[in-house]
Amino acid sequence: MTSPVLSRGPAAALLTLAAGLTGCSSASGNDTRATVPAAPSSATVAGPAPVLASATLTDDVDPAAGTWSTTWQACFEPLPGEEDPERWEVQAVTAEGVSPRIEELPGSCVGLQLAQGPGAAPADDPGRTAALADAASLAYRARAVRADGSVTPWSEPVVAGSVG
Amino acid sequence: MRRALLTGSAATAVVAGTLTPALAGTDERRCSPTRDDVPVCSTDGSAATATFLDPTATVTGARHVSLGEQIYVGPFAELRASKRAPISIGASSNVQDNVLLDARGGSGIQVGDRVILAHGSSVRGSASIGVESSPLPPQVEDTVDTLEGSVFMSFGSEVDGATVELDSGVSALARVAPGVTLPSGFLVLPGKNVTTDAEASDPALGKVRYLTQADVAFNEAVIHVNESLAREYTELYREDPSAVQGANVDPGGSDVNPDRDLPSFAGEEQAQPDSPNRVIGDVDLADTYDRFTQRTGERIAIRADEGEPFVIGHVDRMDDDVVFHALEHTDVHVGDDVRYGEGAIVHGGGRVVVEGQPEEQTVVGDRVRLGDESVIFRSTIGDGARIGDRSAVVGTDLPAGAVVPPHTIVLNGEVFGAVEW
Repeated sequence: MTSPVLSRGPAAALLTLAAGLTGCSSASGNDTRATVPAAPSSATVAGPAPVLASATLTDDVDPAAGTWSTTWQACFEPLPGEEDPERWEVQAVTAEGVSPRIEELPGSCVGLQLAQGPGAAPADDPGRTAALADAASLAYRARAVRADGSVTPWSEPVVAGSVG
Repeated sequence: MRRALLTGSAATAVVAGTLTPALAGTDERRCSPTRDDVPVCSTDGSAATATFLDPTATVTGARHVSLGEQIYVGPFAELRASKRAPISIGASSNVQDNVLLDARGGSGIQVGDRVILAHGSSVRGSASIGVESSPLPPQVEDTVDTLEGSVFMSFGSEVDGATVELDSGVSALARVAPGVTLPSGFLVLPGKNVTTDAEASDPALGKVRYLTQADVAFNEAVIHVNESLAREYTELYREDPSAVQGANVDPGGSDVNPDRDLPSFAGEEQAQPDSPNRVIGDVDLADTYDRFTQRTGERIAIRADEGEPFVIGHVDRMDDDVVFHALEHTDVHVGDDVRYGEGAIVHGGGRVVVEGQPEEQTVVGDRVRLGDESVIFRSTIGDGARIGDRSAVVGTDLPAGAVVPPHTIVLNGEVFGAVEW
């Protein structure tokens, strides 16, 4: 079981987020999860926190299958003048607390399927409304890891499903 | 806030009907929360694997309760078991504030590994959650990695004599009725009462939706958070048993909440370990401790062990079983003269920080009336608003004076539907 829906768009920059948290799922050609361990907790924190570059929410309808799905993507960037990072890391933030797990992004973007259902009219589906409301209980914050191993502070958390 | 100094006396957990020593059961990695095994229920002595029961949690028939490792049982949770109706809970699950598991009257309750029982949820009779599983529907099988499996039961939801399979969930104020099986891959929508197997497995009937990757990611994070809480409260208890009693410090110990903070009453930080309610961490109450005690009922959990601070104005009246909780950096602000109905839940979280959009925080204005078992989550409630009994307001800005009728679900500013039970 993988998340092919997450392979759309800039596939190399998307993370199969949940799979990456444990690294125990089956692999496929679409699986882009990272293999490099997170920066150590003792890493030096320096510089400004990164910011959200873009966040989009996309509905896709598959008429042949008679289904729809909604996908969210959020991309981060360093502030102007900051060096390009070696890599990016994210941490899940929920209404119940902040996960202690830190996961590496293969690029600078988080991608996540937020809703899916039967039919061809997602906007009319109460399941989509409920799923997006549930997804708003989940957020991600990101930080950049530099070549010297130092890290930026965490960005502000970005709520799953938000756009901007 | 400054780091609190810990002093104190021995903790006492509420354990009824448990006069015999603990029995480890057939699995050496499980334990029973008998008198000598609360609030820390550990098989190997390590805080990393210990299960922690808040001292206010009530266990009836503890010899017939079997707990796995790394379980967090929150304030005022109740586990009611008997010889004929045992309860088992798997590893890395959590039983949050004011959750009820009552197996009596049935043949027992089985809760599997990695099950989240959120604030105010209940499980009754002969029930199974996260133990059985069936093949995922193709829509889910093709798009979702369920990882190690999980189940989420949201605020005020209920499973009554039913089976909830692995990789499923029950939304806020929803219910799975006796005899029904909620299969893997489906979540019950908020407020819905699923009374047939057909309703439980067909989204076209309007009561369930498909599991998504976001659901799995959310569950993963919540499970990790509560594993941390089990460890951190265990360490706090071992450092000072009185520190997990009454109005007292949060455990700290995490990178997001490293310090132990005391609550404050009328501007004075203080520990009140003898308080029958739990007020934990950086909670800033306008009332003096005496006035707060006079205005509040029993089994109240105001738990700022992640989000902080909570700023709570003068309480008009707070009935039994009220719960406050929130995410880190989620400031919960409640105004003056608010009336909290029995079992009301005020929960912060979901802060939006997308550029160009306002931040959303949980704010309850002055003179608001919260009905019994109502839920406020990620919302702003204007002054004088009234929320009906068993209604939920999620992701919504309610204007001053607004009225939400009883048994109504409001999501993102719109009425989603009725609470059907």
